[in-house]
Amino acid sequence: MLLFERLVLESLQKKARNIQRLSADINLNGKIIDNVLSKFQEINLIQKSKENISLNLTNLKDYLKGQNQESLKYELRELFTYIIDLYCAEGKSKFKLRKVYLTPGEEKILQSYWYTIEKFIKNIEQEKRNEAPLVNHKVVFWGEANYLDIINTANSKL
Amino acid sequence: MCLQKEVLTQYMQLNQLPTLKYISGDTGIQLTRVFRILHGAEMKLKEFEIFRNRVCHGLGENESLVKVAHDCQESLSPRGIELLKVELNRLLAIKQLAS
Repeated sequence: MLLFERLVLESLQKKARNIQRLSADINLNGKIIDNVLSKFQEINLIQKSKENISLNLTNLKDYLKGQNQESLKYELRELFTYIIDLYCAEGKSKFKLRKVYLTPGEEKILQSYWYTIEKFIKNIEQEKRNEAPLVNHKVVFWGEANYLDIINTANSKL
Repeated sequence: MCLQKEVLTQYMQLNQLPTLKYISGDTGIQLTRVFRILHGAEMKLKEFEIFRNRVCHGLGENESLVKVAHDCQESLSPRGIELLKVELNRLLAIKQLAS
C-alpha cells in the first residue's frame, strides 16, 4: 500500500466522510483522493452513499490480511524515506541514531525505556482521539538493531 | 500535451524554477515563445526535443536511468533486481495517483 492509500484508509477507519472532509483530514488534494477512492472502489473496499464514503469492513479485513510482510516492508521504506528527507532537508523530523556498545545491564535499562514508551503510546491509542485531524497526528517510531544483524543483511543482498 | 507537461515539469524541477530569461538562454528558444509555452501553448517537435535533451543532460547523460538499469540487470542478484522493480513501480504508482 502506498502512503496516500494508507492515509485515506486511516481516515475512513476513523469515520465515514465525504471527500471534502476527507481532504481536510489528510491534507491531500482532491485528485489524489479521487484516484485512491477509485482504486478502492475497484476492489470493493469502500461504499459510497449520497453523503459519505465508508469502508466495507468485511472486504477491508481480507484486504489487510492480503498485505503481507513484504508489502508492509515497502510501505515502511516509503514512510522512512520521507521522514529522513524531512530530517535532512529541513530538520523537521526528530531522528536520532547512535551506535553504542551496551553492557547487559544497560541493555536491560534500554529495554525498560522501550517498554515505557510503548506503554505510553498504547495508552494514548486506547483513548481513541478520533476527533483530531489525521494531519495533526505524530508518527512516532523507536527501536534498535544489532550491528551484526545489519551487516549480515547487507551481506545477504550482495 | 501530456508529454510536454511532463518534460516541462522535469525541466522546471531540475532548474529550480528558472526565470524566463534563463530558460530562453538555456534552450535557445525566444523569450516570448518560452512565455507562451509555459502558459500552455503547444510545443513544436523541435522545442520538445530541446527541452527533453536539456532534461536528459540535467539528469546526467552518463548516468541515465536506462544505463543504470542495464548495469543493475547485469550485476545485481535476482533479489536485488526484484527490489528495484518494486521500488520503481511504487514510485510510478505514486506519480499516477497524483495525475
